[in-house]
Amino acid sequence: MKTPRISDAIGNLPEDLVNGAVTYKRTSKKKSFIK
Amino acid sequence: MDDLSIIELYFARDEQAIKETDNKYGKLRHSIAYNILNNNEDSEECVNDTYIGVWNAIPPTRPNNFMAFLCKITRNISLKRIEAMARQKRSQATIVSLDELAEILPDESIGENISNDNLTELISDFLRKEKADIRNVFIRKYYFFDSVGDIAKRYDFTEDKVKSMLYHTRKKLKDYLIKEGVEI
Repeated sequence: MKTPRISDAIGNLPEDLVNGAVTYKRTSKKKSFIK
Repeated sequence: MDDLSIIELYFARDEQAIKETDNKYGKLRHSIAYNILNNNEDSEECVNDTYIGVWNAIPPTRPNNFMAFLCKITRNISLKRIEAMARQKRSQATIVSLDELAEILPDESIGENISNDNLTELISDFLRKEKADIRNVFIRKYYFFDSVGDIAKRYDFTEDKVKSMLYHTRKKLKDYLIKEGVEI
Protein backbone atom coordinates (compact mmCIF):
# COMPACT_ATOMS: atom_id res chain seq x y z
CA MET A 1 0.00 0.00 0.00
CA LYS A 2 1.22 3.48 -0.85
CA THR A 3 -0.17 6.57 0.85
CA PRO A 4 -1.55 9.11 -1.65
CA ARG A 5 0.65 12.09 -2.52
CA ILE A 6 -1.92 14.47 -1.10
CA SER A 7 -1.39 12.84 2.31
CA ASP A 8 2.38 13.38 2.00
CA ALA A 9 1.70 17.01 1.08
CA ILE A 10 -0.53 17.44 4.13
CA GLY A 11 2.21 15.84 6.24
CA ASN A 12 4.50 18.72 5.22
CA LEU A 13 2.09 21.51 6.16
CA PRO A 14 3.88 24.48 7.78
CA GLU A 15 4.53 24.21 11.49
CA ASP A 16 2.26 27.12 12.40
CA LEU A 17 -0.76 25.37 10.86
CA VAL A 18 0.02 22.10 12.67
CA ASN A 19 0.68 23.90 15.92
CA GLY A 20 -2.56 25.85 15.49
CA ALA A 21 -4.61 22.67 15.33
CA VAL A 22 -3.06 21.49 18.61
CA THR A 23 -3.52 24.70 20.56
CA TYR A 24 -6.76 26.04 19.01
CA LYS A 25 -9.61 26.58 21.44
CA ARG A 26 -12.98 27.27 19.97
CA THR A 27 -15.06 29.98 21.60
CA SER A 28 -18.49 28.39 21.81
CA LYS A 29 -21.36 30.61 20.86
CA LYS A 30 -23.73 29.65 23.64
CA LYS A 31 -26.98 31.55 23.91
CA SER A 32 -27.38 33.63 27.01
CA PHE A 33 -30.80 33.88 28.56
CA ILE A 34 -31.70 37.10 30.29
CA LYS A 35 -34.53 36.82 32.75
CA MET B 1 11.54 22.17 30.54
CA ASP B 2 11.05 24.59 27.65
CA ASP B 3 11.53 23.46 24.06
CA LEU B 4 14.68 25.50 23.42
CA SER B 5 16.41 23.88 26.40
CA ILE B 6 15.42 20.40 25.18
CA ILE B 7 16.81 21.21 21.73
CA GLU B 8 20.06 22.37 23.35
CA LEU B 9 20.31 18.97 25.08
CA TYR B 10 20.11 17.28 21.66
CA PHE B 11 22.85 19.56 20.38
CA ALA B 12 24.96 18.63 23.41
CA ARG B 13 24.26 14.93 22.62
CA ASP B 14 22.84 14.57 26.14
CA GLU B 15 20.48 11.58 26.38
CA GLN B 16 18.40 13.49 28.91
CA ALA B 17 16.97 15.15 25.78
CA ILE B 18 15.02 11.98 25.02
CA LYS B 19 13.65 11.74 28.55
CA GLU B 20 12.57 15.39 28.54
CA THR B 21 10.95 14.96 25.12
CA ASP B 22 9.08 11.94 26.39
CA ASN B 23 7.93 13.74 29.55
CA LYS B 24 6.57 16.67 27.58
CA TYR B 25 5.37 15.16 24.31
CA GLY B 26 5.20 11.38 24.82
CA LYS B 27 1.41 11.40 25.19
CA LEU B 28 0.89 13.57 22.09
CA ARG B 29 3.17 11.37 19.98
CA HIS B 30 1.54 8.21 21.22
CA SER B 31 -1.91 9.59 20.37
CA ILE B 32 -0.82 10.37 16.78
CA ALA B 33 0.71 6.92 16.32
CA TYR B 34 -2.34 5.26 17.90
CA ASN B 35 -4.76 7.25 15.71
CA ILE B 36 -2.96 5.94 12.65
CA LEU B 37 -2.16 2.38 13.75
CA ASN B 38 -4.99 1.66 16.21
CA ASN B 39 -2.75 -0.73 18.13
CA ASN B 40 -0.85 -0.08 21.36
CA GLU B 41 2.14 -2.30 20.64
CA ASP B 42 2.75 -0.89 17.14
CA SER B 43 2.21 2.66 18.41
CA GLU B 44 4.75 2.16 21.18
CA GLU B 45 7.32 0.84 18.71
CA CYS B 46 6.62 3.77 16.41
CA VAL B 47 7.09 6.29 19.20
CA ASN B 48 10.40 4.62 20.06
CA ASP B 49 11.44 4.86 16.41
CA THR B 50 10.65 8.56 16.45
CA TYR B 51 13.14 9.05 19.30
CA ILE B 52 15.86 7.64 17.07
CA GLY B 53 14.60 9.85 14.22
CA VAL B 54 14.72 12.99 16.36
CA TRP B 55 18.10 12.09 17.86
CA ASN B 56 19.53 11.68 14.36
CA ALA B 57 17.88 14.82 12.99
CA ILE B 58 18.98 17.24 15.75
CA PRO B 59 21.66 18.37 15.06
CA PRO B 60 21.98 19.64 12.38
CA THR B 61 18.26 20.53 12.24
CA ARG B 62 17.16 23.20 14.69
CA PRO B 63 13.35 23.12 14.59
CA ASN B 64 11.53 26.43 14.88
CA ASN B 65 8.57 24.68 16.39
CA PHE B 66 9.63 21.57 18.29
CA MET B 67 6.11 20.24 18.87
CA ALA B 68 5.16 20.44 15.18
CA PHE B 69 8.51 18.89 14.27
CA LEU B 70 7.81 15.91 16.55
CA CYS B 71 4.27 15.55 15.20
CA LYS B 72 5.59 15.44 11.63
CA ILE B 73 8.17 12.75 12.38
CA THR B 74 5.63 10.66 14.30
CA ARG B 75 3.06 10.96 11.50
CA ASN B 76 5.59 10.00 8.83
CA ILE B 77 6.93 6.99 10.71
CA SER B 78 3.42 5.76 11.60
CA LEU B 79 2.24 6.04 7.99
CA LYS B 80 5.35 4.22 6.75
CA ARG B 81 4.53 1.46 9.20
CA ILE B 82 0.93 1.17 8.05
CA GLU B 83 2.14 1.00 4.44
CA ALA B 84 4.27 -2.01 5.36
CA MET B 85 1.55 -3.80 7.36
CA ALA B 86 -0.41 -6.74 6.07
CA ARG B 87 -3.79 -5.63 4.72
CA GLN B 88 -5.81 -7.29 7.52
CA LYS B 89 -3.77 -5.58 10.23
CA ARG B 90 -4.23 -2.03 8.93
CA SER B 91 -6.50 0.33 10.81
CA GLN B 92 -9.72 0.64 8.83
CA ALA B 93 -10.28 4.20 10.06
CA THR B 94 -6.92 5.29 8.65
CA ILE B 95 -7.59 3.53 5.36
CA VAL B 96 -10.92 5.37 5.08
CA SER B 97 -9.20 8.71 5.75
CA LEU B 98 -6.52 7.98 3.14
CA ASP B 99 -9.22 6.96 0.65
CA GLU B 100 -11.06 10.23 1.31
CA LEU B 101 -7.85 12.12 0.57
CA ALA B 102 -7.27 10.12 -2.60
CA GLU B 103 -10.79 11.04 -3.71
CA ILE B 104 -9.90 14.72 -3.44
CA LEU B 105 -6.82 14.22 -5.56
CA PRO B 106 -6.00 10.82 -7.06
CA ASP B 107 -2.24 10.42 -7.68
CA GLU B 108 -2.85 9.60 -11.34
CA SER B 109 -4.64 12.93 -11.86
CA ILE B 110 -1.79 15.12 -10.64
CA GLY B 111 -0.20 17.18 -13.38
CA GLU B 112 3.36 16.18 -14.29
CA ASN B 113 4.86 19.52 -13.35
CA ILE B 114 3.35 19.53 -9.84
CA SER B 115 5.84 18.70 -7.09
CA ASN B 116 4.89 17.68 -3.56
CA ASP B 117 6.17 21.08 -2.39
CA ASN B 118 3.80 22.84 -4.84
CA LEU B 119 0.98 20.72 -3.50
CA THR B 120 1.80 21.54 0.13
CA GLU B 121 1.94 25.23 -0.68
CA LEU B 122 -1.44 25.20 -2.42
CA ILE B 123 -3.12 23.23 0.36
CA SER B 124 -1.60 25.60 2.95
CA ASP B 125 -2.90 28.63 1.03
CA PHE B 126 -6.32 27.03 0.78
CA LEU B 127 -6.46 26.23 4.51
CA ARG B 128 -5.25 29.69 5.54
CA LYS B 129 -8.20 31.24 3.69
CA GLU B 130 -10.70 29.04 5.54
CA LYS B 131 -12.23 29.91 8.93
CA ALA B 132 -10.23 28.65 11.91
CA ASP B 133 -12.89 26.05 12.83
CA ILE B 134 -12.90 24.55 9.36
CA ARG B 135 -9.12 24.64 8.99
CA ASN B 136 -8.44 22.99 12.33
CA VAL B 137 -11.10 20.30 11.91
CA PHE B 138 -9.52 19.39 8.55
CA ILE B 139 -5.99 19.28 10.00
CA ARG B 140 -7.11 17.23 13.01
CA LYS B 141 -8.68 14.69 10.65
CA TYR B 142 -6.10 14.42 7.88
CA TYR B 143 -2.85 15.37 9.62
CA PHE B 144 -3.48 13.85 13.06
CA PHE B 145 -6.02 11.24 11.91
CA ASP B 146 -8.33 12.02 14.85
CA SER B 147 -11.68 10.26 14.76
CA VAL B 148 -14.81 12.31 14.04
CA GLY B 149 -15.91 11.66 17.64
CA ASP B 150 -12.64 13.00 19.07
CA ILE B 151 -12.77 16.10 16.87
CA ALA B 152 -16.39 16.75 17.92
CA LYS B 153 -15.40 16.48 21.57
CA ARG B 154 -12.27 18.61 21.18
CA TYR B 155 -14.05 21.52 19.50
CA ASP B 156 -17.52 21.12 21.00
CA PHE B 157 -19.35 20.23 17.77
CA THR B 158 -21.79 17.43 17.09
CA GLU B 159 -20.38 14.51 15.10
CA ASP B 160 -22.79 15.29 12.26
CA LYS B 161 -21.48 18.84 12.13
CA VAL B 162 -17.87 17.58 11.91
CA LYS B 163 -18.79 15.12 9.14
CA SER B 164 -20.54 17.89 7.24
CA MET B 165 -17.59 20.29 7.63
CA LEU B 166 -15.17 17.64 6.40
CA TYR B 167 -17.38 16.75 3.45
CA HIS B 168 -17.71 20.36 2.31
CA THR B 169 -14.01 21.11 2.86
CA ARG B 170 -12.96 18.08 0.81
CA LYS B 171 -15.27 19.17 -2.00
CA LYS B 172 -14.06 22.77 -1.86
CA LEU B 173 -10.40 21.70 -1.80
CA LYS B 174 -10.97 19.46 -4.81
CA ASP B 175 -12.54 22.35 -6.75
CA TYR B 176 -9.67 24.62 -5.71
CA LEU B 177 -7.02 22.15 -6.86
CA ILE B 178 -8.78 21.76 -10.21
CA LYS B 179 -8.97 25.54 -10.58
CA GLU B 180 -5.24 25.81 -9.77
CA GLY B 181 -4.43 23.28 -12.47
CA VAL B 182 -3.12 20.59 -10.11
CA GLU B 183 -5.74 18.03 -11.01
CA ILE B 184 -6.01 17.27 -14.68
